[in-house]
Amino acid sequence: MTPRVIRICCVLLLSCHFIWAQEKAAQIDSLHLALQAAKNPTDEATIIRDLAKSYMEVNLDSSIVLYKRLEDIADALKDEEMKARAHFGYAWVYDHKTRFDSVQHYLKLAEPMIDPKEDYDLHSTYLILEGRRALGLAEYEASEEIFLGAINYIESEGNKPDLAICYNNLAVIYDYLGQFEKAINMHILSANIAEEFGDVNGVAKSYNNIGLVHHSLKEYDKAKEYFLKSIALKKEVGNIVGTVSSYHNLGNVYRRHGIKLLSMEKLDTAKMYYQNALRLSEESNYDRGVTISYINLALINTTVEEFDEGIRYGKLALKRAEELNDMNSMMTASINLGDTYQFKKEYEEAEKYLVQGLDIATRIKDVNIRRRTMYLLSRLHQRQGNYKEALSYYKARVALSDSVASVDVKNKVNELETKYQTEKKEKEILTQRAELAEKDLQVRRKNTWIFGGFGLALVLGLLGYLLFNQQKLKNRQLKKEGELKAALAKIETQNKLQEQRLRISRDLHDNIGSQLTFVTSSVDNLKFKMKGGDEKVTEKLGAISEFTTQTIYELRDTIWAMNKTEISFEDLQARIANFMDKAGGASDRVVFNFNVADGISKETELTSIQGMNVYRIIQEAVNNALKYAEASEIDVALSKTNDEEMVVRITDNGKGFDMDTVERGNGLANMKKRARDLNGGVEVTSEVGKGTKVNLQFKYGK
Amino acid sequence: MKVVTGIPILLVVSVASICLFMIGLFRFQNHRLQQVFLNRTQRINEMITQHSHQIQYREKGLNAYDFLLRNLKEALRIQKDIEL
Repeated sequence: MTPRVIRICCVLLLSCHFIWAQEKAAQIDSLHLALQAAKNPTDEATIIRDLAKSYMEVNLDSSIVLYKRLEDIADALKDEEMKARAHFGYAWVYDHKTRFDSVQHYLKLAEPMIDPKEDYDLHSTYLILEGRRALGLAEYEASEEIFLGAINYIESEGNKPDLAICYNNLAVIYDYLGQFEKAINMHILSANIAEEFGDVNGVAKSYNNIGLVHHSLKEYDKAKEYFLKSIALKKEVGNIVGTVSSYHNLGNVYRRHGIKLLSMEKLDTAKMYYQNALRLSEESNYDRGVTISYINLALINTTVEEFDEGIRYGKLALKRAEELNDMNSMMTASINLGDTYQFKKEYEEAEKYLVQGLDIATRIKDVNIRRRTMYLLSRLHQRQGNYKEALSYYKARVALSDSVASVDVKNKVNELETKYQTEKKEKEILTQRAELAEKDLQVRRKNTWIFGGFGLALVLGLLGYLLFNQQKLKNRQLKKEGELKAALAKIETQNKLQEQRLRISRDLHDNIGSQLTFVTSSVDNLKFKMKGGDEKVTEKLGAISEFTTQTIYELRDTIWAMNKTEISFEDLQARIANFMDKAGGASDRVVFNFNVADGISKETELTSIQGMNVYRIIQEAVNNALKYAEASEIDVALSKTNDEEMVVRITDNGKGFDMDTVERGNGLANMKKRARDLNGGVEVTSEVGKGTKVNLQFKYGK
Repeated sequence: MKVVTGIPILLVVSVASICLFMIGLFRFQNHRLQQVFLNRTQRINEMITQHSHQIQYREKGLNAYDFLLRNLKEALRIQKDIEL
């Protein structure tokens, strides 16, 4: 880069600074207007916080005044959270001023007001400030521990911007500790988060830090490129502190590069950047920026052998650092002053400042600086001819280097041991996990078999139950169907039998019945033609005709009885009564009596043959009484001896007959035959002049 | 609790599906059997009723037979509906 280009860049950067300053002023003015228009203390507090933050980048004292106002409002409202925020505001301001004792004071005040479980925002701010305080006091290990703890806490809440701040600070710590790889990793993590959230300031910080790493790796051009990018971004967002820091870093790169190339142009450019940083720091009351600017200006003046100017800046830096209790700056300023005095060959002053620097380095446990200071002291004494002292510092330096090396080796061994142990444990854990997984798999397989068996049993059980139910249903249906079929078969058979009987009956009636009728009518004709002839023949013919007629009646009765299965007693009684009425109508001089005993139920059932035979016996007896006995009274009585025997009695008061002398006719024989059919007996008793009694007795029912 | 969560969901779903399918299938079959049975029994009942009516019809005729008038021919009624 030519001096012309550098000058142009400087002009551009200053122009940007001017523009940025204008924008910042406009923002602050608008916040002031809003503050005047605030309607209630809560709104006022919110605006004050924003205003204080804005002032923090341009005027730290104004921020302090505003945070005091915020604290007053918090006291008036008795708002603990607001008060904690005011304390954190103070802490941030004093962090920028590198007044770390004040930072610690305000953090202690704020700590009891925070509940880490509830006030996430406040607690994460507290951790970051505490880490930065330790970093500012060069307590790198403590600071690293705090930031690692903060990362754990913030990761659990997932606030990535806060996480980026932690990564950035950790990267700075690792950079100080010479662990560049870790530093780069942290910067990458931070830059990724910043890009993800569009945080320009965060990206600028990361560029700055990446530039620092390149600087450490002596990649000067890349370092310059990143610092210039960082400065441009920081100006864009109005970050004065960051801009000052990047100016210093850019100056450092040019200084180192100039020394390496023995280029006065680069050294002049470095000085110019340091002066820019000083001016900006002074304008914005950024104390630490002023101190560091003095240190760097002292260094660059010494480098270009302007020792008086170097001593002047060195003393200004030391004074400022002492005022701020900034140990790091005090140490650096002292050592640089000692070195400058050495070059000026003012050895006493040089020793004084170098010893002071060595003390501070010992106090803050900065081994590298101690080694460097011991080297300078050894060289100083050597130049003075104090070889004993020179040797003493040389030995101390070698011993320190050895101890450092030994500590390094030990650390490396420990690190390797830790790695080995960790890997071993990881392997063991992996083996245990594999075993557990195997056991788990076995258990799962076993469970699968057991539950599979249960499932199968359930399915089979259900299948059995369903089949059993279906079979039961089928059996029930078959049984019922069988019963119905049996009933159908029975009724069908019954019907068929009746049909057969009916056909036979019809045949008998139509054929034999008509033939017998023909015989009767033929005999009657014959008997009519032979009228006046042989009386015996005529009488015989009459008997044949009567017999044939009787046969026809009996044939019809048989046919009827064959078709009829049963007859009720009521029906039989009606038919007998009907017959008696008709007989009475035919013979006016005869009195007919018909009695039925009370003991006989009307529902009593007789077979059709029983009914027919009873009816015929009564009919025969009554006809005989009418025809032969010349009776004036005929009685028919039905009674029963017990539940199964019925007695039918037909009596008349006619002339009677001598049972020994009268020739028995067909009528009596017929009655006896019918009585036998009834499984009973008929008894006919008669005396001349005393009437006749016919007594029928039979067992009735099926 | 671990045992319960260890049951493969596929197994449970399969068993439940098979059970539901079987229950459905058997319900359908039983319903069909019942329908067939009802049809058959209805037919048998109809036949029984027909025979019964026929017997009653003939019985009515025979009851009407009068011994005195002896008009048996009218009482002997022929089957009307059933071909035996």
